[in-house]
Formats: sequence, C-alpha cells, structure tokens
Amino acid sequence: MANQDLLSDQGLRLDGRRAHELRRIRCKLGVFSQPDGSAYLEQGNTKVLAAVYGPHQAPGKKSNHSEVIVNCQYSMAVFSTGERKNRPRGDRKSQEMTIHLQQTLRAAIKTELYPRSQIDVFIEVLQADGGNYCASVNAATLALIDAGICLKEYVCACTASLANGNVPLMDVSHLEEVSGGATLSVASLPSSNKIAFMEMSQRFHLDHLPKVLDHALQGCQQIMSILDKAVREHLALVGSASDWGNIAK
Amino acid sequence: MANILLSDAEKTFILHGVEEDFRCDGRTRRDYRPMELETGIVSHASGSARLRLANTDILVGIKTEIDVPSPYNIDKGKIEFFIDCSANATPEFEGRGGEELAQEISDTLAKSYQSGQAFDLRKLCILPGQQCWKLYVDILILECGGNLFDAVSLAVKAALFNTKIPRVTAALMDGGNVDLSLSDDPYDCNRIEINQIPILVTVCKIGDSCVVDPSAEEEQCSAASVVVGVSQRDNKSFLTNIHMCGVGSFHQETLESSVELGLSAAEKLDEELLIALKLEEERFGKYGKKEIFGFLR
Amino acid sequence: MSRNQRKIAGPVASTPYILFTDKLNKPAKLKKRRDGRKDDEQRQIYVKLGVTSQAKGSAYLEMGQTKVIVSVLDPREIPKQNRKSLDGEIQCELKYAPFACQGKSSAELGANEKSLSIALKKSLLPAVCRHEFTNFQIDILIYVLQDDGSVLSAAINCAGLALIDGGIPMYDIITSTTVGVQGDRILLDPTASEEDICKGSSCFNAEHGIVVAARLESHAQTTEFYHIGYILPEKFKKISEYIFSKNEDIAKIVKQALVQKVKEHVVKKGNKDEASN
Repeated sequence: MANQDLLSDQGLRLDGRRAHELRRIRCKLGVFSQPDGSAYLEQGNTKVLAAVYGPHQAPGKKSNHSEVIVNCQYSMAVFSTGERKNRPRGDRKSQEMTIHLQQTLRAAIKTELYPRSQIDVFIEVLQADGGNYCASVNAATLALIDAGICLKEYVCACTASLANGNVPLMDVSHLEEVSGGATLSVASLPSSNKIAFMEMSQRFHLDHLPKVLDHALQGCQQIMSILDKAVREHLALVGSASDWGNIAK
Repeated sequence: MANILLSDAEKTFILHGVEEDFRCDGRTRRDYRPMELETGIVSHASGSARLRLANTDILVGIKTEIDVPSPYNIDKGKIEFFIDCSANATPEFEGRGGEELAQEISDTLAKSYQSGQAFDLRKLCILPGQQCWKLYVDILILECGGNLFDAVSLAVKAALFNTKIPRVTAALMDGGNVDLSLSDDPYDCNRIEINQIPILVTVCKIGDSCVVDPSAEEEQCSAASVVVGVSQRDNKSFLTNIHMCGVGSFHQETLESSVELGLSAAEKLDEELLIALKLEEERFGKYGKKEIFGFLR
Repeated sequence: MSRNQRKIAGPVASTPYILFTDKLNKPAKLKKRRDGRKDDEQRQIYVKLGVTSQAKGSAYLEMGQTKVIVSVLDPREIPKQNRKSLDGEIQCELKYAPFACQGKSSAELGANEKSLSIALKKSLLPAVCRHEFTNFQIDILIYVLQDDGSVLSAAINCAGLALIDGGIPMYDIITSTTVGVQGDRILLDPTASEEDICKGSSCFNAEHGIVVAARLESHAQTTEFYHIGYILPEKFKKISEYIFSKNEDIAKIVKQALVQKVKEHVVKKGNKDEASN
C-alpha cells in the first residue's frame, strides 16, 4: 500500500516533517494598493494571493437588507499545477471551492454590520501543492483584516490525514494527498472552538475521526497564532509612522 | 481597464501637466516609472518572471510540452499566449469580465511574435514532421496600474530568458512512433535566444502630445493610443507590429511621430532589460539557487 | 482539427490533401503577381447598397475575389447594463462563411473572426456620431462570403457604406486600404496567397509585412493603423504616405456609389410621384 510509505519508521514524512508539523507559513498583508485589502500567503509550496474589495453597494437584485453578501471567486493560475490547466476558473472544482469559501467566510464576517452591501473576495492560486482550500481561507482572512472588515475572530483552515492506518498527519502536501488516504479539511474559528466548514475526500473508520479532527484543529490553532503574529507585525510597520511601533513592542 | 473615476477638473490637471512636460508624478513625457523584475519564481513552470511596473503587476509562467508540428509547418514548433486578467486587479474582471482585454493583449503579442525574424519557431522543432516543443506562455495580470502592453511584453521576454527546455538526448524511431529520451539532469537544458524578441511600447495621446508609460489615470484621459512592437536585429530596430487602441483616431503626422517616440523608448528599454537579466544571472550563477522574494517583499 | 460528430466519422488521423499538391511549396519570394496586376494596382471593386431588406442599412462589396456583405440593424437599447452610457455603442460581429477560405481549421477561423471583429469595431467607432444615440447600440453584422486577402479593408469599406445606407449619423466617409511588403516591393491590395508570403513566418532575411489603414477622408484622421511583419522604421514612413494616397482612390469609388444610390432613389421617387399624379 502506498499508504504505508507516508510515514517512515523514524516517524518522518516524505518532505522530512514529523506527523504533527505544519509546513512553513510565510505571509504578507497589503501586497497590492488597488484592492481595499490584499494578502499573500505561502504554505510550503502552495502560494496564494487574496484580494478584498468592499464593502460596497450590492447590485440591486442581489441586495439583502439584513446582512452583507459575501461574493467569492476562486481561480488558479494555469501554470499553478504540475500539468497545465486549460482554464483558470469556471470548472466544477473551482466552482465548488468558491461555494466552500463563501460558506466559511460568512461564518467569520460580522455580516449584520453591513446591510445592503457586498464584499468581494478574490483568490488567486499561483502555485498549488496541496491544501489549496486551507491556504485560500488563511489568505482570505488576512486580506479581510487588511481591508478592515469586522470579523468575529480569525478563521483558519488546516488539513489532516491518516497515515499507516492509525497515525494522523497534519497539513497534507500534494504528494501525500495523491498517494495517501483520506484528507480532512477543516476551517475553524479557533478562539471559540467552532467549526465553520469540514470536508472529507475519502472514507476512514469513524473511530479515527476524533483524533484526525483533533489534529486538524490543532493545526488551525497554530496557524492562528502565526497569522496573529503577522497581523501585529504588519500593524506595527504600518503604524510606525505615527509612532505605534514602539507601543506595539 | 481598471475603472478609475476622474472628474473633469482632474482630467484637465493631468492634461495641463502633460502639455508642460511635467506629469503628475514628476516625470517628463518620455520617462518610465520604476520597475521591479524577478525571474524564476514559479517552481512548477519551466520559466517564469514577475514584473512590477509601479502599480502594474504581471506574473508570467511558461510551460513546455511535446507536441506534433502542424502539417502546414512541419519544421516549426509552437508558441501559444494566454492571458488571464485576475479579478484581484479589479472586480470588473470577475468571471469573464476581463476576456476582451485579455484577447486584445494576447492577439497583439502573438502578432508581434509572428515574423520568423522576431521569433524563430524552427528552433523549437525536435524532429521535423514528428515532434516539436510547444511553449505555453501564460500571463497573469494581478494588478493594473496602466501600461499593460509594455509590462506584459517585458515580463514575457524575461520569462523566455528564464525558460529552460530539457535537452533531448536520443530519439528512437520505432515503426511510425518516435521515442524521445530527455536529459534527467535539470541543469542540462537549452535556452531560448532572446536578443531579437520584440517588446511592445504604448504611446498614449493625451491632448496634443504623446507620452510613454501612461499611468491608469492618464489612460483615462486619452482617447487613443498606439502600441508599437520593436525587435532588435543586427543593431537595427525593426517594427514588428503597430496596433491602435482606444476609441479615438490619429492624424497622420501624430501617428508617425508617436511611432518614432515608441521606437526610441523601445530601444532603450530593451537595452536595459538585457542588462538587468544578465546582471541577475551573473549574481546568482547560471543555475544557482537563489532566494525567491516573490510577493513577500 | 475539430470534427463535427454529426457528420460521417472519418478516420482518426487524417492529412489534408493540399499537403500533397505543390501549393504548399510556396515561393518565399514573389516575382510577378499571379493575376498580372502591377504592384500599385487595386483589384476591381464592385459595390451595391441596400442588398438585404430586413436590415436598416446594408451593402455588398467585392474586391477581386474577396466578397463581403454587411448589414446594419436598427439602434436598440443597450441590453444588460448597469449604468447608463452617454455615448452610443457599436457591436460588430464578423463571421466567415464555411466555404469562405481553404485550408484553415475552424478554431483558427474562430480566433480570426474575433480579432477582426474587434479591429473593425475600433476603426468604425471614431467615424460614428455616437453622441446622437445615447444609451443605444448599433449592431453591425459582417459576413465574409469569400476570403481572398485584404478582408479587413473590404469589411471596413463595406461597413462604412452600410452605415451610411442605414442613415446612421457619421462624421465622414471611412475607407481602408491594405498593402503587403515583400523585400523592396510594396504590393497594393494583396490577395490571400500574397498575404501569406508577406506575413512571412517563413521569411528569415528580408523585410516583410502587412499594413492596413483606415481613414476618415476629409478630416485626414487615421482610425485604424495595423501592421504586422518586420520592417525598418524608414519603410514605415514611406508606406504610411503611400497607403494614405491610395486611400483617396477608394474614397472616390465609395462616393460614386453613394451618389449613384441617391440618383436611383430620386428617379424612383419621381416615378412614384408621377404614377400617383
């Protein structure tokens, strides 16, 4: 079984990580000047750009008088995958991803604060190496914060899988996704321990679910602290002109 | 392009600035904005480049594939341009909104590469009539701050410079089928000759004068512009393509003088680009590992 | 090549028969023009106005073997748009007849149709008084019956006539000319095979190129100038002067056709009046 190879006897994975380790996350807020908020996030070799426009007036038909409309678009650069993609968006997979993102972000945004408005969140995957959904959610969170949109709290996403039939793996890469077993993607609101979105790609026994889920949630928790640090650093940088820098430290 | 709302007063201000040869950002009519260029930043692609021209952000990825040559041109490889206007640039590009603009740019680019002297497709042929390389040049527009044509053409040229085509070590004819073996060594590869590859320069007519490298605001003030494709060969500049955009029209003299302006700008730009590319390669060695800045800077 | 499934399925791998003829062994250089014209000789032009009865304005134009028919539909409100536009819009749709040219795949033709439509729209926009029909759009349908070179020029000339025939307010008569460059020679109004040679994807040493220009005659304004190929800047100057002088000849033909049309109309009206009296 290919499943066996995911974790070596020494407890190391294909890329040299341990089972409970995340890939390196690097991120930056405010990469572009035209959108109201933008962010770039690298999770290992998965690289994602997110841009947020709004809140702005919603077009007549769609307008909702009680809460904001969250409009997402997920697209992948045609050169982002190993094999060239034919088109960047509009295929089933990206449409599904768009809906998932919409659902996740609606859970985090204080939608009731912006009635009759719309927030556009555009995701562009520049390089795909597993966990595209998670990187997109994490980047979107940063972009929303950069745009100054009220969130209930950070929304973070992480994947987890099961190796060797019983060892849970955190933050699955593309190679592990393809050769391994089931992948569980979870988006959570870590501070209040809520789950905003959950999806599984294959089956495994119900008994394994708690520990895999636990791993994914732990991953979310860790990602949150990384994002939080990035946001604080960004704010210190942005505010240093007005001497916040010293206060933040 | 990006929808920027300008009042009449703002337009007049820009117009007067151009007339005085002192534009809003302090440039003269013949000045370019600062550019940043980085090559080799997409690991899944054979070649890539990212160019940032003030606010305009372009990412180019080139992928290579083995294909069968067209029966009409059996000794030539193929090149295909695809432009994606990301919605990140402006919400107008959401869904299919950017397709018309993308089509226009990729058409112009393909036309300026069409001449055999501008881009020699014979070099991409492996076995005439049997196998050839196909280059997919995929361009992603991440932010538009004006002057897309110039930025795209420069980024594509840089990405082509960065492209590494694996070397074919052996070809076996087995019946009618060809069996190619490619070199396993990632450093054993062919490069593309880029000296004569054309670049595009947009000359924008604002009021009665013409400027190069218009910003998004300046583009709003202009009714017509002309894109000039220039290729260098044997120390001479050749025009590979001229293309007019916008809803307005040109007087014959204005057209001629703006083509001249575009030509001189292109010569200088081309020279600078080659210097920058060589410098980057020298600094990091031909295939040396270097740190990728990407969007983190 | 894309295959139409409803048709009889051919073999999976097929080769166009043209490849076996000597047509493919095109000369890289041109000696004499095949139709015996001089380099600066325009092909015969035939024009007819008001050819389709359903359209508001229409025209048919032949330039040698290149044949196009253009219909201009009544202005209508711009559909599906959020904000009101102050200027009217033009919508151009150029289509090739399935039998219009030989040896081109349908994908190739489709791409060609798209880029020609865009070029056509751009060259017509400055000619039309768009402020006269706020928030309305004019649909222009162009059908290429046969493609034997200089299609864009033929389409622009014909569309200009059809717009006038439809009574759309315009600033000026719009005319267009194509020239091909091959080495030192400048060929006026090239045919399809001459165009292929001038495009010169197989030309590796000499100057070559295609230039199309559209112009508003009495304002001396260029609405479209399009060049592909590989030429020196000095040559460009020469060509631009040449092409504009040749444009005037086309304008004469266009004017003649319009005058003819008005004359016919007056005669017809006179006859009608007589009959009613």
